[in-house]
Amino acid sequence: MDSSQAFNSSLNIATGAVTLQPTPKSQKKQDASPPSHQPPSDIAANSNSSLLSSFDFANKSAEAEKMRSFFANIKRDSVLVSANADYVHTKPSYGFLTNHQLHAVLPVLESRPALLSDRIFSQGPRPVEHPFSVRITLDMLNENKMLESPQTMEPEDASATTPPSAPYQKITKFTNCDVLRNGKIVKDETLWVRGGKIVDPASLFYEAEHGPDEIVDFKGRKTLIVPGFIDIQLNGYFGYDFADTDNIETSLDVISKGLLKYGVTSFCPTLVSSPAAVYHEVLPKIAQRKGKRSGHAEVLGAHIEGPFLAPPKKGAHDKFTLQSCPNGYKDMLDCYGPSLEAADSAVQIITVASEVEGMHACIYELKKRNKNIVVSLGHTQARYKDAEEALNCGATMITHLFNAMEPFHHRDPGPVGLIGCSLTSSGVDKPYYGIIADGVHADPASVRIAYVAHPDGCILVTDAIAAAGMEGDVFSLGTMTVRRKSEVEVVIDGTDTLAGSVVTMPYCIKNLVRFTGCTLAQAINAATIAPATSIGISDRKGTLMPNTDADFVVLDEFDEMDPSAFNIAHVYVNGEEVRS
Amino acid sequence: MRLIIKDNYDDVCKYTSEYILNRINEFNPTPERPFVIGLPTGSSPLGVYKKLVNFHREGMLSFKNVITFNMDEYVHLPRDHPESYHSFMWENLFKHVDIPPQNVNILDGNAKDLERECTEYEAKIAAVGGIELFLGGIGPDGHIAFNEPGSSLSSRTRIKTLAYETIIANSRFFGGDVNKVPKLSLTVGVGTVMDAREVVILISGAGKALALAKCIEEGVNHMWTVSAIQLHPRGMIVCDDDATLELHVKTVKYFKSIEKVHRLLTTEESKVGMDGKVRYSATK
Repeated sequence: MDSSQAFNSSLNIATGAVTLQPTPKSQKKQDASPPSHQPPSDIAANSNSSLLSSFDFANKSAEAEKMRSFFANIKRDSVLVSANADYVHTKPSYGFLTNHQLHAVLPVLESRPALLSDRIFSQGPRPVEHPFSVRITLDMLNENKMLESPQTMEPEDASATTPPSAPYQKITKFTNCDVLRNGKIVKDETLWVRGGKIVDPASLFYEAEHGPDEIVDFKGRKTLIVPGFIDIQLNGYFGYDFADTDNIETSLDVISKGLLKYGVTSFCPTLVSSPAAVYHEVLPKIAQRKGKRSGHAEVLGAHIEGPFLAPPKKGAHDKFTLQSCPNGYKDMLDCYGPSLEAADSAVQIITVASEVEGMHACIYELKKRNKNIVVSLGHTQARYKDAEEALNCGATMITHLFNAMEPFHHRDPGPVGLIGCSLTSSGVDKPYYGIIADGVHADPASVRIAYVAHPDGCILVTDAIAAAGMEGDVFSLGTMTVRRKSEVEVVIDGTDTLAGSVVTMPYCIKNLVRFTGCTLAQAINAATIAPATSIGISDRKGTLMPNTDADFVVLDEFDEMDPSAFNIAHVYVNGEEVRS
Repeated sequence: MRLIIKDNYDDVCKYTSEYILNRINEFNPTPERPFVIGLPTGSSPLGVYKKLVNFHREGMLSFKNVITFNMDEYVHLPRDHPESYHSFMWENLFKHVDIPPQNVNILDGNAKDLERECTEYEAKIAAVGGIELFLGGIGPDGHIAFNEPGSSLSSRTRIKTLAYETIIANSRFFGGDVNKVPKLSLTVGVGTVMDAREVVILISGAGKALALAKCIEEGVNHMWTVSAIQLHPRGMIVCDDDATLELHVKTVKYFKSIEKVHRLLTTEESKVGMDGKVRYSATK
C-alpha cells in the first residue's frame, strides 16, 4: 500500500509493529502531489527495517509531509510519540516513534502547541510516564488540519449491526414463552434471532430502523425455550457406527439429521479404541464436517475414547487395540496422527486411563500444546491419588462416572472420589463427569449421590451405539458384536458386559429429574450449559445469551404432577426450524 | 387540578392505566395524527406499565401510532447497562408491546454533544406536535424528572447534576457503591412537562406525603417543582391514602367529594365524558 511516493507503510497485526519501508529512489525525491490516503492493508509487513533510514532530516517540510501521511494512514484513535524509544511499536490505540522521528514531528507540533498533552505514557514492559512523550489523537490531527481528509475511527465493536454490504438478515422474535437463559428460567420472555445467532433485543430495538420481520407467538401454550442439547459421547446411532471408516461421511450425515428429533443440536462423534490407521483416516474426515450447521446438528469435534485405556477395564473395547504411552505424548501423536495438532483440530475430548505408563507426562504435554482439547479419565484402574494427580496434570473430566473404573471405596474413593474433592494441591477444581442416566449403567441412587456431591459438574451423555433408534437385536460396535438384552440394555454378545446404550437424550433428562429430584431446568442444564462449558464453547452454545448460536428447542406439554414431563415441539438450528 | 385519591397503590395503577387506555382510544391515533405521550421511570409507574401491557395482550390497546418521549436518562452510563433508563423502558414496556422503534424517543446520555442532544429533543417534541399527555412521578423532595429543588420552573431539557440524596438513594441499584452512580443526567425541564396538553402525576406511599402536601396546599415554589402543576390547565394527580397523610383533612374530603360527583356523572348513560366535557349524543 502506497501512502506517499516516499515510502510504504504496513501494519503487522501479529507483532503490532508498523514499519515504513523506503521505496527505491525515494530518499531524495520530493513529491509535489499530496499523498493518497488509503486505509492500511492488514497484511504482515515484509520486513522490520528501521524507519530511521527513510527520513531526511535536512529537509523539514518533506519530513512533515511524511509524518502527515504516516498519521493519516493509521486507523487508531491516537498515536503516542516518545522521545526515548528506539523502535517503532504500535498497538491498537497508540504507537510511538523514535527519537529521530520525533524530531521530524516536532516541527509540525511546534506550530500547534495544542497537540501536546500533559498526561503521557510510553510503551514498554511497564507503562511509564515520560516527560518527552506526546499523545496525538486523530481528532487533534483533524482539527489542526494535519490530515488531508478527515479520518474517523472504525467502530471496534460490530455486535448487533451488520456491515452495509451484507445481505439483509431476517429478524425473528419468539414471544410469550419462558426461556432458559444462562442456566435459569426467565418467565414471560422473548427470544430474538438474526443471522443464525441470538441477538440482544434491546440494542436491536434502539439501533434498528424496524422491528421484527417475523413474530412466532406461543400465546396460549405454556412453552419453554431451551438451548439445543449437546451430546458429547455417542458412538453411533440409527444403525451407523462412527468407527466404521468406510462410511464415516454417511454416518455423520444420517446421525446429524436424525438426532434433531431428540433435540440434540450439537454432538461429539465418539470413536472407541481402534488401531492407529482408523484414527488417521477418520479424524480428517470429521475435521471437514466440523462446524457446519444448516439443517442438521453440528459436529463439534471427535471424542476419542481410547486406546490408552486399562485393559482390565476395557468394557466393550477391543483389547487388541489398547496400548500404553511409554514415550509420553509422542505415542499419542503417532496413534492419532497429525490431526491432533492441526490448527482447527477435529479432536475435542480424549478419554485416557491415567495410570497407563507415561500418561501423566502425556496429559501434561498435550494440554500444553493444545488447551482446547479436553482430557477425560475413564476405563481406568487408577486409585484416588493417581486420579487426583491426573487432574493436576490437566484432566478436567471423567468419562461415564461409575462405569469402567474402580468403585467407590471409603478409604480410597478412586476416580469417583474426585467429585467430592476440595481443591487439589494445584488449585484445580472438581472435574466434570459424564452420567449415562438410563438406570442401567448406574443405579438411580448412585446418580443421586453423585449429583448432590457436584451438581454443576453433571453432564448427561447417551454413550449411544449404532443399535440406538433401531429395531432388532444384534449389532456391531467397532470390531465387537453386541446384543440387545432388554429395552434399554445392550451387552457384548455372550456376556453381561454393558456395551454402550440405546437411550435418547430426552429420556436421560427425564431420568435425571426422577432419580435426583432436581428441577427440569437443572436437568436440562446438565445437557446444555454443562457440556458446553466443559469443552469451552459456552461463549457460543448452551446459554441462549446474545451473540450465541441460535440452536434451541421449544418444549411444551408440561405436567404439574410430573416434573420430568415434557415434549419437544420445535427444534431450531442456526435460527431455522428443522423439524416440527 | 384533579386529585384522585385511591385506597392503595394497586388501585392507583388501575385508575391511571385505564385513564391512559381510554384517552388513547378516544384520541384514536393514526399515523398522521399520533398520540404523543411522555413517560417516567422508577418504581411508581411499574404497576401502570404492567397493566398497560396486559391491556395490549388482551387486544384493547395498540401502540402502533403512539410516540413516546421519556423524561430523563443518566449521562455516560452505557445504554445496555441494566440500570440505564433505556434498559428499564425496554424491560418494562417496549419489549411486550407493538410500538415501532422509530416512535420511541429517549435522551441519549452518551451523545457526543450533550447540549445539542437536549435542544434536539425539544425540537423533536415540537416536530410531532407537542406532548398530549405527560405521565410522571414525584420524588420525596417534590421533584419531577430530575428537576431537583431549585430548578427553574420554566426550564427546558438540559443537563442536570444529581442531588447527593438522589445519588445515595440510587446507589442501591449500583451495588451500594456511590462512586458507580452517574452524577449527571439529561432531563426534561419543568417547563417542558408543563407544556404538555395534560399532565398526570402518580404519587403513592407515605414517603411522598410531605411532597404532595407542599405541592398542592402551598404556593408554586421552585423548591417543590411539582407545584408548577397548579398553573397547568389540565393537571391530574392520582395518589393513594398513604400519600395524603400530610394533607389537611379538609383537602382530602373536598377532593373525594368532587370525584364522587364526577363518578355519578360519568356513568354509561351520562352526558359527561372522561375529560369532564359535556357530551351530546347524535340521537337525542
